[in-house]
Amino acid sequence: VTRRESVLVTGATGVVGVEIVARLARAGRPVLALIHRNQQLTLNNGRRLSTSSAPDPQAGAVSCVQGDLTQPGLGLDPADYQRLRSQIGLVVHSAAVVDFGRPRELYETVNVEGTSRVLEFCQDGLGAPVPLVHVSTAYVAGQRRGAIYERELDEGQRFANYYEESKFQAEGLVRDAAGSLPAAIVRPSIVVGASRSGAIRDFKVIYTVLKTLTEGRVRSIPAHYGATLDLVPIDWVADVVTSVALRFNEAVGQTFHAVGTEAITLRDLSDVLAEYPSLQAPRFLPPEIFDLDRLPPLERKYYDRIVSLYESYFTCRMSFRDDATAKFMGSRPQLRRKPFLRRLLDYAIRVGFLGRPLPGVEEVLADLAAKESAGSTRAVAAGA
Amino acid sequence: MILSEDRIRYLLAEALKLVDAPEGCGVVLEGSIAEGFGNETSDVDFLLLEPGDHYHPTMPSILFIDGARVEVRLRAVEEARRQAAEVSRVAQAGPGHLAGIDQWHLDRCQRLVRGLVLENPELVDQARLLKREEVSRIVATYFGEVARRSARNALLMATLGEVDEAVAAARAALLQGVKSWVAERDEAYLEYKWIRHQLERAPDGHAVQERFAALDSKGAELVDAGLYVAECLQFLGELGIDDCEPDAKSISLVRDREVTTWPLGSRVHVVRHRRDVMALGERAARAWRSIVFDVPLPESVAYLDEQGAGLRTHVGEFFRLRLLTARWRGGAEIPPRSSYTPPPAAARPVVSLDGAVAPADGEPDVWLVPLPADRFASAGMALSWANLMIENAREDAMGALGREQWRVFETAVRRMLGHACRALLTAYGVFPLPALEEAPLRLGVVSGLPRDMLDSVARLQRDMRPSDRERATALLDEVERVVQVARDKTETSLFPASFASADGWRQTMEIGCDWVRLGAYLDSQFPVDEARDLLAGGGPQPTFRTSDTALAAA
Repeated sequence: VTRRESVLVTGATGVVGVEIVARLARAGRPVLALIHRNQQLTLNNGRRLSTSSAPDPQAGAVSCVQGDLTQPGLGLDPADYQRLRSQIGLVVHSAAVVDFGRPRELYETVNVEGTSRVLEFCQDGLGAPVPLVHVSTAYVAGQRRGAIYERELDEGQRFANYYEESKFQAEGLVRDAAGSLPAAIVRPSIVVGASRSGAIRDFKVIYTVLKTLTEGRVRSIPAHYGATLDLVPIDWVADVVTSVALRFNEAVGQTFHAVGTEAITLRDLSDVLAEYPSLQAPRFLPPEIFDLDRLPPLERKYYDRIVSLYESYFTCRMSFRDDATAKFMGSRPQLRRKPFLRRLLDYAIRVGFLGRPLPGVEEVLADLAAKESAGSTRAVAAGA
Repeated sequence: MILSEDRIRYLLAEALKLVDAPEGCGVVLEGSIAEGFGNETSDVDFLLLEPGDHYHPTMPSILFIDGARVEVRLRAVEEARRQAAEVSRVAQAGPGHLAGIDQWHLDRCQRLVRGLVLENPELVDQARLLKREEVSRIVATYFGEVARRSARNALLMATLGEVDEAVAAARAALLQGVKSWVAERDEAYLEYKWIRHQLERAPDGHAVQERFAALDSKGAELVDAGLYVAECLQFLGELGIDDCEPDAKSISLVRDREVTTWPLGSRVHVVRHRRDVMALGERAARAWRSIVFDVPLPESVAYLDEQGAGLRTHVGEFFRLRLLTARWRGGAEIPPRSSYTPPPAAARPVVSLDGAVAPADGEPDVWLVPLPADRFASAGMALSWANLMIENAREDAMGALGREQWRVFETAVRRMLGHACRALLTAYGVFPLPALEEAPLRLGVVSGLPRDMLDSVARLQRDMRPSDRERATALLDEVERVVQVARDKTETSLFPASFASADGWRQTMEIGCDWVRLGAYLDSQFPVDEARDLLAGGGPQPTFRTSDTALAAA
């Protein structure tokens, strides 16, 4: 196996990461999966990916390397570092903290400093720089509105959360290094279930807020019906990243939006949720009449912990242009908005993530009271 | 046969004197007498077959001859062949299609092939595109499939705890199953009434007859519905009707994408096929929200039971109302034995801010709103809007009163009055609404409004010009009384928070948003463009600037 062929993938246990690993291996590349702890690589369809710990995997094989992105030298011992450095022809950096609401330091450590460590690895002066495919996010655009182009990054935007901000900074680091380091950037939007089945192994990010809203935990949110959520199927993201890695010479220097065909509007979401009796649809209130202080305490708690992190997603209309991706891939995902949304909801309901809410506090209390009174009746009967 | 051939030929000859029969017809005696059934009161049915292709009315000529009721039908040979070809085509498409066939067509076919030929047998043979055995097989398949559907219905109803429905469906399945069994044995007469005679004639029919009679005669009150259904379904299996074994795990409830759920205020509404709005009572709404679809029925039922005792029984009604469908394993739909739409609810007014108004004589589990869906949504939006506009006009009136701007004051109180009248009209289902200034003149279309309020409106309409503060205050008070009656009548005042507080105002806006959401889905008429703007937000106009709460929370 030549150095040019081996690929190091960070974040290999993530839902997207493992799909990239599998695709690269399927394309005949030897893949080294950088993992934090001894973990299994589970594909989105639930199957385990076969791996080894062989230091030098064969073509099409996957080998796991234990490391830590946040440590100097990727947390590898010097010998392993040296071996890896000489062996690797390309790095795909997909490791990141993607869920919202975590401490700011965590995003800085993993998303920003982690990217710095990967850049150090790629251009540590020990040899020719190792080319990099950096997995960013379309939401480095923060709270911008309207058309967002792949070539743009810093447009003076504000950010809705630390995640977006950290990914913006990380992408800035990669762009700054691009003078001396061959790099390409892929920006997925909101990653959701597979295009055909709607399946997703791990319900995170948008799914968390969807669960909160459809269970009626939060019943009103400040939102515009015209706001857009760009949902992209996981298979398309993995396809784009893999293609960029495999055809790096064509992709170098470019940024690619891995996004859905058409962004879903809250109007679409509202109409489709109405088709599911067991799913509650939140009231989308014009932000100017929404009053956070009117929410009951429990609802307020859910709002603060979960929904508030997504506020800007419910009020902004942005359209990610993916001309570079469409040209590079020769196609776009062929998805219609409402049918795709239904597929995602159907899957989430089928596996029990959505649709069968645990009883609310009031129901639990009412049930307890009923049981207690039944219990006392029984006790009286037994006593008699 | 109950009649001799001489008697039959005599009746035919007499009938032909009375009807205008074409030359060279074929003649067939069909129906129960030709089958060998019938009694003294049975009709004597003659079919005249005319060569070639013509259209003839379906309705027979009904004659009374010598104490007998004689029916004479005329059809063209090609017409009969076409009907048979259609039946054959549907039969070849499979039992599922056959069950949905026009039963009249099938009946015409079987009567023709099984009738007694009286004249021109060559011509009759031309008309008989299907052979007698083929028709028997088709009829057997037809009854087999309808029996299967009834059996699955019975199982569904029994599992949902609907005893009477379950027993009725099981009885229907029994009869249809036995009809299939006798049709396999050349007893393909379609009507049910001679089944006992058919069983008596069929080889080995005696044992089936005994078992059938025993099951059929069991009263619902004597049996456990589940057990009874299981027994009936087992018997059907013995008759050769497969794929309807008594296992509810084979059934699942399925959503209908064209049936959508809309909370309006505190009430849950279901819109069927974008046309009918059904409002749900509290328990029915709970049941509706608790249905787990696409899982084996016992799982759905267990979940419903967890949510509340007896909730499962609502599901049977949802099924009959076509708010959901049911499927057998493998995907075949289980159509309800009869679906229906309830009568429009006798509610006056029809619409409140809180959705559909329940009928005056009590709140049913499910009721049909007596307005088509898009008009209902438009009326609700208009009602919300009128109430907001009353508040808006009142503010103007108060301001003008303070500064003694009498022209402004008059315009404002006229607007208040106009919006109060529009609120009343729309609550009673009037839509589109008359223009603001004409609304007071249209109150006559709503019956039952208090006389003194109508007088007040008429008086105000004639003169609302204030000359001084005292007169202005009196005018405003009178308009306020009209507003109050309008709110009492439209049940707006029952609404949790009145319009007096900022909180109430906001709540009204929130419920207005519920109506707008439904209106958008139905593409209903919006009262004003501002209401539509609620939907178009996030566009070019300035949008909400997210506060830093997100950052602070993280």
